[in-house]
Parts: sequence; C-alpha cells; structure tokens
Amino acid sequence: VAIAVSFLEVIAVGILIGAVVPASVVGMRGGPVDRLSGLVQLAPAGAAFLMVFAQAVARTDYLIVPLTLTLISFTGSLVYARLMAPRR
Amino acid sequence: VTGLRAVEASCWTAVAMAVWIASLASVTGEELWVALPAAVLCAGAAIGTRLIIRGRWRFRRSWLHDLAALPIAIVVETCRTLRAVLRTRRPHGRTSTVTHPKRERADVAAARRAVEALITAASPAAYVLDTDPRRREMTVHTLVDRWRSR
Repeated sequence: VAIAVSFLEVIAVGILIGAVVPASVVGMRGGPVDRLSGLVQLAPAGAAFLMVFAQAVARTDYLIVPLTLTLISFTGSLVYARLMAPRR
Repeated sequence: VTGLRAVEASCWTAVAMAVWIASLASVTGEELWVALPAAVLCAGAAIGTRLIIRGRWRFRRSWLHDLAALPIAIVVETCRTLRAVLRTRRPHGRTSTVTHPKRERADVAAARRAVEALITAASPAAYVLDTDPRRREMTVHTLVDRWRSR
C-alpha cells in the first residue's frame, strides 16, 4: 500500500516530534517554574504545528485555531508567571 | 505630535488588519472592507488606552535586531530544548535579573519593559517571571542557553 506524504505533512510531524513533544516533557518535569517554561514553549509549538497541518490538509479555515491559541496563551502565560514570581 | 499619532494609528491599523487577514481562508474585497473600519476602531482603542495609562513609546533600533533574530533563536533554542530533554538528566532552569537604565523616564521605561518582555517571551528558552518598576529590573527564567543572550 503506497502512502503519499506531502512535504508539509513531513514538516508538521517534524514540529510535533521536535518541538511539541519536548515542550510537553519539560512541562511535566521539575519544579513549577521549570514546568511553566514547558507550557510557554508548548503554545507556540502547538500553534506552529496547527498552522502547518492546516496548510497540509488544505483547510485554511482551521487557521483561526492557532491564531486564537497564540493570543490567549500569551496572556495566560503572563498570569501564571505573575503567580510564580518571587515574593517581595 | 499629530504626525506621530497618525503614524501610531497607521501601525495599529496595519497590525489589526494583519491579524484579521491571517484568520481568513481566502482574502476577498468584502473582507477587507469589513476589516478596515474594525482595525481603525482597534487602533483608536489602543491609542486611547495608552493615553489613559500615560504610556509613552520610544522606538529603539535594538528591538528590530531582536525581532530579526527571533526566527533563528526559535529554531536554535528549540533544538537545545530537544537535546536537553533527550539527555537522562533533566534540564534545570535558572533565574537571572536584567537591569534597565535607572535614569529613564518612568513611562518610557514601562514601554521598554513591555516590549522586551514580549520579545523575551517569544523565544522558546526564556520567559519573564517578574518586573520591578521601582528597581528597573526584569526577572527572567531561562531553561537552556539562549541563542543570543542579552
């Protein structure tokens, strides 16, 4: 059975393995501040994967999902960072 | 002041329109006609908010350098994170303090902190944990070595 794989699909899998998985692993290990680092990385990595995947499957209407994820995750990360900031 | 405000309004309008267009499956004339007034409204809201909080932008050339270096930093730091994760020892992040000029005006310093926090957060290896307006300091958490440390 021949499976045709496009260039964009290869890039999407590359982002998934090279960026999304490591960010998830970082987000599951260590202290809260280190874990937040994983979460901060996970959002853009996930957004990049979703963007490439939407192009790979020719569904550009899905692009609203990574766009919204990017906008929301940035402010979300700021809130978490604020909670974990050292007390003065 | 009016000229500068027009430039600021144009920049915000362009940014808001770019966000709108990025979310479209296909760009049509009708979409652009809807996007333009919505983007102008957003620009008005952005400038109004800045005036209310008495913020003041002073553009710095180093921001452009940092933005231009961002794509390379993202690739390099993502690879470093992957390498760190593949090792058996788990990566330990470290916290450092970035100090800004103390004699800068408070509103200009606030704009500097906001932009630098945004650029720092955009790179995978680091994020801003806290800022101290009184001491003019920014606490940055770094997981792996940054591509171009400040």
